[in-house]
Amino acid sequence: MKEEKIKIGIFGLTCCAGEELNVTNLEEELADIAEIVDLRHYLMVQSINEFPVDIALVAGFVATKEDEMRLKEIRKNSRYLIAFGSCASSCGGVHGLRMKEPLSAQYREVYGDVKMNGEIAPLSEIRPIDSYVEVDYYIRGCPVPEEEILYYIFKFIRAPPVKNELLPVNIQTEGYGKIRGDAFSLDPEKCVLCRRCVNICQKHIGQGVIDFISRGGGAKVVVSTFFGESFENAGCILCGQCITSCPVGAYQVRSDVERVKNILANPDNFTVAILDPMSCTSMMQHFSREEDFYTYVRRVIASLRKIGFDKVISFTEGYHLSLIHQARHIMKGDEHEKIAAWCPAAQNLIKKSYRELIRYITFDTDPLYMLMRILRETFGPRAKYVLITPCVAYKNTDEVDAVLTAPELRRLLSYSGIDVDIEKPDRAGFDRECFHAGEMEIMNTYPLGPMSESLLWYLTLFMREEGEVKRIQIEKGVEEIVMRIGETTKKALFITVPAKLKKYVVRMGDYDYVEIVPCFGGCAGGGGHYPPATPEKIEERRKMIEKYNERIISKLNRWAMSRAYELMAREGFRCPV
Amino acid sequence: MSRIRKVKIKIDDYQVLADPGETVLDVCRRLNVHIPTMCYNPLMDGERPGSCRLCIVAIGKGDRIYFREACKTPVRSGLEVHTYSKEIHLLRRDIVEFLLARHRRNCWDCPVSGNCPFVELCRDYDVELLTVCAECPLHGEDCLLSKGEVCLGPLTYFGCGASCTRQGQWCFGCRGLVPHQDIIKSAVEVYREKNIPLEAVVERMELFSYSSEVIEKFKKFAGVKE
Repeated sequence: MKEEKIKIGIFGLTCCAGEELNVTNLEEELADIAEIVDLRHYLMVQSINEFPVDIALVAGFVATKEDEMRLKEIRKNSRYLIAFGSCASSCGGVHGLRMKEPLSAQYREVYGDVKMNGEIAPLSEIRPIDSYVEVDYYIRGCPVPEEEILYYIFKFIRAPPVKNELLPVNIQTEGYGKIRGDAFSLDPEKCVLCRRCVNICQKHIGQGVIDFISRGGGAKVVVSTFFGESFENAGCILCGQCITSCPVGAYQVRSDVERVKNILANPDNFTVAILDPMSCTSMMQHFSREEDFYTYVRRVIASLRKIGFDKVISFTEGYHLSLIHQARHIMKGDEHEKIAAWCPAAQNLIKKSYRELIRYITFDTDPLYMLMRILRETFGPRAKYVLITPCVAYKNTDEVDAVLTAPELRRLLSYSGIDVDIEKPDRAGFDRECFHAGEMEIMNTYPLGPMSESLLWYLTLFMREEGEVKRIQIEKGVEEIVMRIGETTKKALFITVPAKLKKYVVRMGDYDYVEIVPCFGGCAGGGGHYPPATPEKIEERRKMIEKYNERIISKLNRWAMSRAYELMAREGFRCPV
Repeated sequence: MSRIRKVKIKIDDYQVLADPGETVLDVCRRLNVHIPTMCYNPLMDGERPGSCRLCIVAIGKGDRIYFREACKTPVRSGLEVHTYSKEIHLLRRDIVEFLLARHRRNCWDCPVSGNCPFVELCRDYDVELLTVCAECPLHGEDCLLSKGEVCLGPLTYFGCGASCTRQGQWCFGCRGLVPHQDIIKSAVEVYREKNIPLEAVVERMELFSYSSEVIEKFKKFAGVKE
């Protein structure tokens, strides 16, 4: 047996007929809609109109006695009556303005002394249509967007409209204490107790900084650190995964916008912005711009120059410097230089929970430290530095004067009246002020993490041999990587679930190199991006970066970088710790 | 060589094969059957707290129907699952309302606004307790209110995707004003905080909803006189 189609009627009372017209604007979809539904009553389009209907969409407001009678007729002949558009659903919409002055004065101005009687005489009072008849549902908007009309038609086909009433919800806003920290804070009043952040902190990171804590005999449960300590004191490694996982934005990153504004306001300051292009990915995503990521980065650089930064330097240079340095360590086979320090959150993890591993960290490979060494020599000690990064853990660094995340950068720009989306792209790109390449490919997105083909490239450069990489998965989140360069073999450990590091502490001697990545998807899922993060979004960011890399990747840059490193090495390195 | 025996279950009256050990939510995601979730974190697939209870489905047939969370229910042979019905709709609507009641809605300071999962939930389950601010990606000093614009975003029904404020145009309030006490109260607070004259707000409100009850309530909370 064939199912009966749902019958729909579209009606207009007194109004501009915009909602009725907007349905006809669905030209491409109208044929599909007509297959599923039966348009019984639609005065604007067809000449044969019939009652009864299942769903009546009524637009407009009641202006005359005739309208009232028609509305009551529609109600009698329909199962569900839906107020369609702004006039019907919100107290008359624009027409409500008619009540500002007495009707007789307005009438005289338009019609003069002509008298109208009976059904077509205008009513003096404007009331919403739900005061005349019972309304089952409201579709709002002036005009209702086409996508929304489609959404509701398909929603009603799936299930009949459920009556729309507002329940009285009274929120008791009792002040739960804010949990503070230097880098970010937690507002328990915004929390909906979904447990995402607690799960990540306990099972993924393995630190267990936050947990559910009940107060007042278990009546009120809040997410909190133990005894309400600050995050830093409770053992937080500042990876920021709780920020990106929170669906309601209860975590807030410390804002450095004011500090940067003060730095820029002083004309005597020589200001340098260190931009990680990675932080632009989520900015572009959040405002749903579809364009080439390469051009978008140029737009950000142009707007940074506009608000008064004297130099814009790429942070990727720092990463490559530390990459070369780590490659040197691996080549020499140093016993105590195994864990590279390019992830500040991983550094924090080892400092706070794995004290026995501290001797393995190569503190001098910190990319920010290496880059700042060069920049301080180039621009002098009195220049001011602002780091723009997707990483929250850099918020606690002493190397630079201020650290901005992606939302903060956008806020800073909009405060100065600059819209990144329409800014003209900067042609020159990043400054090549220092003696090295200027712009490098971003390597912290590769599936292997920073332990990537670039590291292998540098290794093969120094050892003058051919090389290849083999990956073996030991368990979920732990991989063993065997690099074969010429005749020598180097073994590396790659951990993406930090909670599993505990098992491998005793086996540290077997490996030449260990890499820990606390964030989901590497730096593409860092805490300084626009929340909330999903695997699809992180994958999209990764693809954006890959395309970006294709455009700038060149061996010349890498040669220049290794030469810069050698100049640095001649002066001798000092360890910051 | 032993083969894993598949389990036969029914989802919305369709016969489906599932692997033993899977949950109902896994099967539904694989088949693209929409089930809303909030506490389920796609980044950590293995860990399901099951605390939001939005993914409840009807299990059983005839008179014996139970409502269970899909993320915690393992499949077994002969299971009959219904993912959508009027009861489920009403239950999920209550759950969304309870979750919202726990949450303080100051979207103009929230980095998630523009991406907020409550928007989709409230639209699908007919909870009209959100405003345009929840859909507007501008927040903090980026927000139009911080720039001194008299924007009706904190008072207007959501659902338009904040198409005006995304372009930098203040909200006209064309979708009508939300007649809810807490929303009006918090709106008065934010207008005061950002130093926006409340008389100007009332004037803009009159354009699309002259005879709305919200204006009187707003005047009462704000202390605006004629």
